[in-house]
Amino acid sequence: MSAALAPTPVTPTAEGWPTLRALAVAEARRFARHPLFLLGIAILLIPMADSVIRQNGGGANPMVGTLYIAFLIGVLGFVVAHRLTTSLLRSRDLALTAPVDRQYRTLALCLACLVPALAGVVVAVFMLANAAIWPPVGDPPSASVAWFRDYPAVDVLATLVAMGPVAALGGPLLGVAVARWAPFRGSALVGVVTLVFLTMLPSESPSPWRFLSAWPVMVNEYVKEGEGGPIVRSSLVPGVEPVWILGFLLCLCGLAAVAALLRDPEHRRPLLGAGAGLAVGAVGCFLLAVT
Amino acid sequence: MTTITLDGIGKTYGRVAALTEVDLALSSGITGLLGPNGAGKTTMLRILATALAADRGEVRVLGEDPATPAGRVAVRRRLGYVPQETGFPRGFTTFSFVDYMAILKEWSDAATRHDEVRRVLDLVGLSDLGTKRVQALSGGQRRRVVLAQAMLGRPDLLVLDEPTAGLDPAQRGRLRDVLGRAGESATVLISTHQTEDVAALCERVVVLDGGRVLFDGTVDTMIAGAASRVWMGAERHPAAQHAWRTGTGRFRNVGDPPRGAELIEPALEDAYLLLVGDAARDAGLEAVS
Repeated sequence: MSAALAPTPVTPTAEGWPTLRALAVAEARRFARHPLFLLGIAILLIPMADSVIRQNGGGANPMVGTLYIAFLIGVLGFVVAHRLTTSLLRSRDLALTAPVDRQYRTLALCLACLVPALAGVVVAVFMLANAAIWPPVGDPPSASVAWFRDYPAVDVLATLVAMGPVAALGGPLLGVAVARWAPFRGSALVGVVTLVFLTMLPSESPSPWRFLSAWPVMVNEYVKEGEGGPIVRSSLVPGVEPVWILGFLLCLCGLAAVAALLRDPEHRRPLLGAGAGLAVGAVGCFLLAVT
Repeated sequence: MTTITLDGIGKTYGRVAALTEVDLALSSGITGLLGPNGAGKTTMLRILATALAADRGEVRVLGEDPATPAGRVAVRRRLGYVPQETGFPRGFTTFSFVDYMAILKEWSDAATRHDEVRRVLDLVGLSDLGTKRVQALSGGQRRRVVLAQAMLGRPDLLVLDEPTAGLDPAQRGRLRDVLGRAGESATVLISTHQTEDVAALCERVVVLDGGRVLFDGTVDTMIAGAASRVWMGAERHPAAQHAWRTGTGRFRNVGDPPRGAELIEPALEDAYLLLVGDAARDAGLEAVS
């Protein structure tokens, strides 16, 4: 104790980028260690291991793997991000009287959402590597599969990224935004139900409105009766440019982050400008994708 | 040098006035804030800690105006605050929670920050519990975690709302040592119901009651106000405002003594009871008249 009480020079504090970086790293650690995030990753390992064991490169529809990313990382990540965002409400006065304001913490939480996005990228890379080693085949092998052999690589990659890692980023960003605007316990559940509902609703609509979704499904899988039994096929949905859908979804991610940051009064004008730019970008990308 | 100035401060919650026309000037050193429940102590501390804005009056803290965003940030950079009640986010260990608070206090360099976190945990005697989950700590230990984060960076202003609540005598003794050293250079304001802590630590004492300052002066002056008003007797005296049976079997009476009473030296607690009791009696008389 005597050593602790010995005078030591007070370290000058640093504001701005170094503080944001330190806070983002701390939030990223909290995200990566959250039990719900780890549970999603653990469950995700099961189909990945199964795919390796079967050596089938992802089967007749390799894009199914993106569903696991979207649900196990994106949707669960929504809840994790919501919980991390609202967690400091328990220490409200301590957080309130610290020099780093809430908007800074929101920005750090948005940056921490790169953790689930990175996990989504890892799974997407696994899907690519898996398919490169054991090329995916239809059932029977003559049936076509929506993959590199049949479609432009850029379309397949854009579809994979849009339905996988971007969903893993967008869910948590939306979780931060919902937590900032509705910081009560049940809002995470309400948010998840709304998110799933809003994702599923357009998928039943006729094209092109079916792509106006938080997780637009750009792959069709269908079964046809063949001579030797059912034939499983998958194809990219015609009439849509996956690259522009990817741009549309990235703009939605940006809008979620801006919405979260707009909860606090600081920097409203540039944030509104960024939000307007992203909204225009989202509309533009969507129109380019479907026309 | 004056570090805190409150000029005509008022704060109202709905129809309830928590603070009414409070004027106060504090300088470096340790000041105790006493008062009954609902006196406005926590409201005043939250205003000083920039957690709450006053409805009326002017506040200057460390030369800054907390009513402006820049002034608030400037105060917060030099502030250590222990709120009356606080919870903890799940999943944090003792070390990681104080470390997180250090980041919120702009300690961005990991190595120096960790050194500082170790220093403050050592200061409050929690070095051995750094890896333990905060949720698993006892109430007194959690209180010391909150105190540890308040000590980060050796703040110029320490605002402590009942810091000794839940601490055992040894921990309180240790805390007095820590706060006594902090008070050599910083302004320390302690709100507490423990008059013995105020008597042991504070040079100055402020008593709030009903949102108003009832007393502002040195501890000795306040105690002197109770001279000749505390006596021992074989029984509880009807004229006493407060009386209780002591361990010796005799009664300690506080109030207006009868002739020939066995007067004893008053303590700060006696002076506080008399001050608050007299104020309540005067308020009652005013209401009747």
